[in-house]
Amino acid sequence: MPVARVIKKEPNKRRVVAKRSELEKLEVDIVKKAEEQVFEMKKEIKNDVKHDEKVSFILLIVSCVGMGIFVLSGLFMNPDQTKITKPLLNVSWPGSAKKACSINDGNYTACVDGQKQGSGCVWYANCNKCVNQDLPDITSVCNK
Amino acid sequence: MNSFSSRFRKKSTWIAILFWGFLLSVSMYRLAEAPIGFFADEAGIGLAAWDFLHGDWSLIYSFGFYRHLNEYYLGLLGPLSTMPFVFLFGLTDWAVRAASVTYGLITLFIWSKIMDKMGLRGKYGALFLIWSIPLFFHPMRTQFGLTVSLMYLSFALWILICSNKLSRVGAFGVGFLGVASGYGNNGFIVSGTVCVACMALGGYFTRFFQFKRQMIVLVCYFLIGCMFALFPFALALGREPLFLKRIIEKNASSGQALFSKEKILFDVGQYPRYFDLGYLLNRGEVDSQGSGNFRHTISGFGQFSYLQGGVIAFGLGCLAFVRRYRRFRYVLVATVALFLTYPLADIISQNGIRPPYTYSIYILVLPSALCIMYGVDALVYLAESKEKIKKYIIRLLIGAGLVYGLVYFGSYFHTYLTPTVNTAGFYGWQWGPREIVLYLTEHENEYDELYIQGVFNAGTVFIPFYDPHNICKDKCKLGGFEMYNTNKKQLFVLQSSSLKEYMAAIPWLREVNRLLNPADKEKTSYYFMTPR
Repeated sequence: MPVARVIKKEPNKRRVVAKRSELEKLEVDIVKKAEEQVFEMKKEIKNDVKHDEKVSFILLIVSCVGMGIFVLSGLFMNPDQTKITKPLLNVSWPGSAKKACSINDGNYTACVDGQKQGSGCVWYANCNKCVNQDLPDITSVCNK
Repeated sequence: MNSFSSRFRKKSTWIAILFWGFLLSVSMYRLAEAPIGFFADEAGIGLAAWDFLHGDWSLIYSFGFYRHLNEYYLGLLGPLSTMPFVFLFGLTDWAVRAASVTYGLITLFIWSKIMDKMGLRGKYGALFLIWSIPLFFHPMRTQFGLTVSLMYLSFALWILICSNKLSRVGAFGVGFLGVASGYGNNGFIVSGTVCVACMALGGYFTRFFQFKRQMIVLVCYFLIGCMFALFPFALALGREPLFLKRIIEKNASSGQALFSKEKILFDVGQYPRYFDLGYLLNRGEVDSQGSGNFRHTISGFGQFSYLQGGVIAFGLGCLAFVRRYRRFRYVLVATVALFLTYPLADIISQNGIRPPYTYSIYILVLPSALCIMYGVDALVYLAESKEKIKKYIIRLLIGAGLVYGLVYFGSYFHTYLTPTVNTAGFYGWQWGPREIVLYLTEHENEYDELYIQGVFNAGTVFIPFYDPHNICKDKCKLGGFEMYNTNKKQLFVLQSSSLKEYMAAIPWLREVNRLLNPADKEKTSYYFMTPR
């Protein structure tokens, strides 16, 4: 290689060397920052894990205690809360039909036995026994 | 082929097969016998499916609705979703209920996919807990169009949760599917719309549906989806005043006009009753004061077990306070909104006496399931704690919970399969029509007319349901003493409770057969009588 060309390239080489060292510095900075960030993130995750574990545990205890208090209060202190009440389980049907109808279905003109539903009547078959007075057996049921 | 066979060598595949096989077999076990009997609404849905399968679409009243029991308007999803089962297995009570069970299990499967997507662990534990919730399990085994509605809503939720970036079609789908759930069970017209609004609310506070410039198109697509699904409903409401008949009937006993200021104030006053823990965890509907309905819950059990109640509370707390779940803020907002609004579908027909109507508050299953998913995941997380004592306490608790859950479900299911007094009556599951019609079709050639006493709720539906091929040749009808004709050979099927009256009126009645209900011999057994 001719000497003149080598001399001409010298300043470029110096610049390249300078750039390289700058880059290396930057690289070190970036790696350092990244490491710091990773460390911070790890710390944060660790904190989150600790926090989550603590909170979940407290919530679990609160739920268990809450449910326990509810069950115990139902069993010992406030029997009405858990006592199974069956007020209507023993009603006799169809004697109670009128009451049940008024609670659940309102008062309607109902179909008589054999009458097609939808032809001006509704289909609560036992309610019709209270409403319709045309047939003798129906009246007797209503008078029960 | 290789991947298929290698998949079957995996342990997880076998666990999945065993788990889903267990759920399917228990869900289908004695489906036609428990609940004892078959209710008129179920028969109405099955019969409509049968008619549609045979090309008779005359029941369709308006786009999206059909005439249910010749009296009410119900969404088409119920019969349409039942059609494949009636096609495969015939018009039987088993086939109609199997449709409901299948859609219930598909709903569970969608939830399992949601758990996978959200990276939640303890999937099978959570799914078992959800499946065994009495409020989920019992309506699933009966066909009232509830599970298909819930499946639609769950599918909408799945789209919302599983799409990393919601597309326009996705936004349309969420709106459409959510509101269209109302065409399964009528209660979901309110529940589904409110639920979709809750999901959108959750989305608004987090990542979807913000009224920002880039989101406005998505919001529009979402609203178009909702409108699309609501259109048939609006059409039916405008065209047919009878459309609201059932709600008006149910509301009648409240003593207030349906759309009035007094009614709103009355409903607000009723709201706390829906959050009564005694009702939710202990009594359920059947055992609550003022209930005249023996179908909706199992006596002695609440809508949830204590374990399920505890895990729901724990899951909701974790969803709100655990940092890992911060990215699921939209689920939290939607869940809380759903808990607060779940009574709306039922409260519009509340009369202040009866307890919350189980089949109208079915939507409560959805936020409860979400909470259970997070609750179980948090438990698994805690069970892996580095602190030994804590770890063992949690594992002990999980073990105890597992035992309790299995014992609870075993006890619930045992009671479920045991028919008890009153469950077969008019407000119960109406035991009798299947056996009666079977007898009548076998003996139809011996009589001119065969009458079944009109003691069943919407009784006319049972004869065509159990005799769809008209073997009876129109000789089997509903009717009683008023149909007595000395010139014809007649058979009367009478309920034991009114037998004495009939015998007093027509002493020459002769018994030819007797059908004894093992659960309730006194009131709902049947006597086959013919004049001598």
